Amino acid sequence: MPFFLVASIIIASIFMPENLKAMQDSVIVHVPKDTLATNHPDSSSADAVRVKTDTLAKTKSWVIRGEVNISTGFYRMTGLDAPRGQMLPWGFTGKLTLASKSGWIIPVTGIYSSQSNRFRQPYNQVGASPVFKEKLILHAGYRNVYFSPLTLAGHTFLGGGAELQQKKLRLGFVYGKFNRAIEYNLAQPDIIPYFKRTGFAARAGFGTKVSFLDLIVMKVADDVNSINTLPEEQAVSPAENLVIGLSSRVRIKKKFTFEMDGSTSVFTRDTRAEAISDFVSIPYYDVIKKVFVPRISTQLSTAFQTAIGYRARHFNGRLQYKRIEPDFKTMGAYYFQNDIESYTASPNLTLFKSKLKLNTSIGLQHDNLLNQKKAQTNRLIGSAALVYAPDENLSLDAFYSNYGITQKAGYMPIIDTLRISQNNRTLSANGIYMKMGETTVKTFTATAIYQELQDLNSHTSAFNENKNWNYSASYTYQDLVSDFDFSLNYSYTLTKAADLNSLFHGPTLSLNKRTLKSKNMLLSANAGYMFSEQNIYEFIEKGGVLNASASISYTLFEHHNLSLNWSIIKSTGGQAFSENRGTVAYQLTF
Amino acid sequence: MKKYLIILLLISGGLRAQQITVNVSVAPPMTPYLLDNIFKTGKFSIQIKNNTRETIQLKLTGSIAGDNGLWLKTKPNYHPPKPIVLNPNEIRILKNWQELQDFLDGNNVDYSEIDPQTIARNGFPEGTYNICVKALDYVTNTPLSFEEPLGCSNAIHVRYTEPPVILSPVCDEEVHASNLIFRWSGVVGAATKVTYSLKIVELPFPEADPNVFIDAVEVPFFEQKELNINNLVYNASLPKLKPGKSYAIRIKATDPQHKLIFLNEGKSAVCKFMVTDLPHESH
Repeated sequence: MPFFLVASIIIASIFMPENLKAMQDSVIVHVPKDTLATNHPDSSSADAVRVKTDTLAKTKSWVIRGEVNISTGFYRMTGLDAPRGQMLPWGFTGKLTLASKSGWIIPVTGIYSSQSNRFRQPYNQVGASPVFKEKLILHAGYRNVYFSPLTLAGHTFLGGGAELQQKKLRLGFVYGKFNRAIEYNLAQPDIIPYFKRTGFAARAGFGTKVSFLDLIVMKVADDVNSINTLPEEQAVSPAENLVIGLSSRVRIKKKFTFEMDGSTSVFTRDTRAEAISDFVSIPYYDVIKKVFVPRISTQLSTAFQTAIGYRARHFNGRLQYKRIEPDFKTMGAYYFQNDIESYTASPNLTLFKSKLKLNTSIGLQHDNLLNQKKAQTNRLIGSAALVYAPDENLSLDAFYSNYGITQKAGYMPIIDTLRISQNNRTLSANGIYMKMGETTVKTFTATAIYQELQDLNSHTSAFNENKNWNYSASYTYQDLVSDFDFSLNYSYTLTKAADLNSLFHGPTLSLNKRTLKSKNMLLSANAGYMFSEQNIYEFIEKGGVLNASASISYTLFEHHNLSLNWSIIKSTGGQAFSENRGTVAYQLTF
Repeated sequence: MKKYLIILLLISGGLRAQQITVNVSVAPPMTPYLLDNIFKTGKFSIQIKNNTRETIQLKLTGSIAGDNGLWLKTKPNYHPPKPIVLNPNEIRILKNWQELQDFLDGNNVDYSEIDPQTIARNGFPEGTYNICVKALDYVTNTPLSFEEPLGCSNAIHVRYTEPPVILSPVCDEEVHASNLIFRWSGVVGAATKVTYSLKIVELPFPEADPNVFIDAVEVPFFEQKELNINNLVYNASLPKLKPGKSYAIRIKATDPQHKLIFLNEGKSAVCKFMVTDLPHESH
């Protein structure tokens, strides 16, 4: 169990700090794999192995680096509902990287928490993807592997696989469990049942790491027998998915880039449904059914996206086209927006020795690709950001974005009272001025954000429109000699919507001080008070929110860090409540 | 109601038309996929009752019609290879398509504008549909049951209501905790008022996939339910986001009246954002 392995490393390093110095430079791990990798079957006697590993040790063949974190805490809330308090789950995260002289780099990650339970998909995960000389990658454990954005695109699985880049040949294969089975529980109806889902994805391609053409095939399916029969009212059903995709990237002289991804996904929502061949005739059905049986609940959808990019000293830009059919999904990717056809252009300028930057983007989108919807929704999305930094002390930026929605008739004539016509706008400005002294740094920042949802349909505007104003100004003082800093911030937020007016404003003060001889203790405190005034359906509620936190962080022997953190939110007024959180965390880096 | 029935009786050929009673029902829960609702065994059932003291040989014909003008109906010359035989006073419930024969098969139907192959691939367009079934004499084609709307199912609503789209922060963006406004696009195609919930989960390490942890975490870092507007200013009255940490965010749309069925259960795509110490424009 890697968890115990890591835990024993921590314990050993706590009680034997003198060993740690040795670990810092390099940790010699006698890994049999490396010995075998020398490919001398004759030298497999015990003596020979010992000689071999000793030699490796002298040349520091294996180096280990990493960090582990352990944390726990408590949470207590009184006020809104019945008082509740609970220990926060304790959690462990660990990252180790082993590197060998022979060319292996083995990053291992592990997460463990007491909150993991059998009614959810796993929180606790351990996995590794060893890399050999940038040619071969192996996968084992819980992994998120990415073949292309429209096929296997990072969905977590528990399993194994390999990817090979040998000269111009590109190969990849993974197999694993994409969901674990979770039974329906009558006592806890909120728990979503899952079927066990397993499958594979394979990739074959031609090219280098930056310029290639890959063909990807993925087949993943639920096991109908992995959980007990579900009650009729449960909408969860065993599904099956076959995806065939192409993915290509081309880079020419670091200036031009080309990207293309296409995919066809055959997705059966319920493998218990009748075969579609019972109802309609399908050409080449005898061949098709050997690979995948199309059923009444099977959908065939396609997705395609392509982009070209250009990068030069003063200008870079990107043109993108995307077409994703309604309800396009694959079991290799988590949910993403579909039923969308979009065109995007993003030209960016860098002028006056990078003192002025202008980043812009404009996009057109529409849905209802297969004319299934009553109305078609069009979106016009634009943004522009201007950053001006004349010297290292001053930076000013302004940002504008608009997300406009209009509708036109789709499958049916559109009713005016329901027609959506909206603009969702944001305008912001931000300024930072830094004054550097010999031992001090003073920073002034000011930010203003205006955001509105404008509804152009007079029938719905009264309910939908809303506006936000957000202003903040802060001053930070850092004393580099005494390792002390403080900052004072004042913020103001006003929200106006139908039947709601809310105002929050108030100051926040933060202090940080490094102390002790070797400055290895950091004390931090933060306190803010927000005055609130809310006007809901003509009822006025006045109150305030106190938000405070304090923390101590102590570092021992450069590698061990223990931190304690406590925070409180206390709200007075109409919805009075108080919330306490405390956390304890330990970090070991090596 | 009586008048209505009498008129129906006259239209449908007098007393013969009540020899068979047909009831059609579609069991909840409804999904946005009409084909699943109709053609999945167990979801759709037809009850036929012989009201006479004679054995009757019959065939079933039917139609699917939507308020959007789309229809499919059994061809007039449809003749299954063998009849359904109902004994005197027998009640039979037909639940699977082997029993139901093939009166709604792609090859046995006339249709308005979209052919059955396209429907099989793309699904039915949005609308409110009724499925109606009629019993005919196997040999003479004489109607044995009442005309529509008797023999019709409950209304089936097909709506493709999409979940919200997170507008800011942009996925994988760095944000500063003091300038943070969460914005998302409202649900399009919802006639009723939709409420939103916003969930933020702290990720165990920066590279973690936000999709994995959004549901795996027992205590979210922050959760706000029943939001009536499609943005939330994350001001200093809310739990302080820690610089250096990464968080996962998801918006979920809910219909308080439980009438709308959302795609992906109303959940937006999950995004990750990183909190920095430096002020940064909030997009």
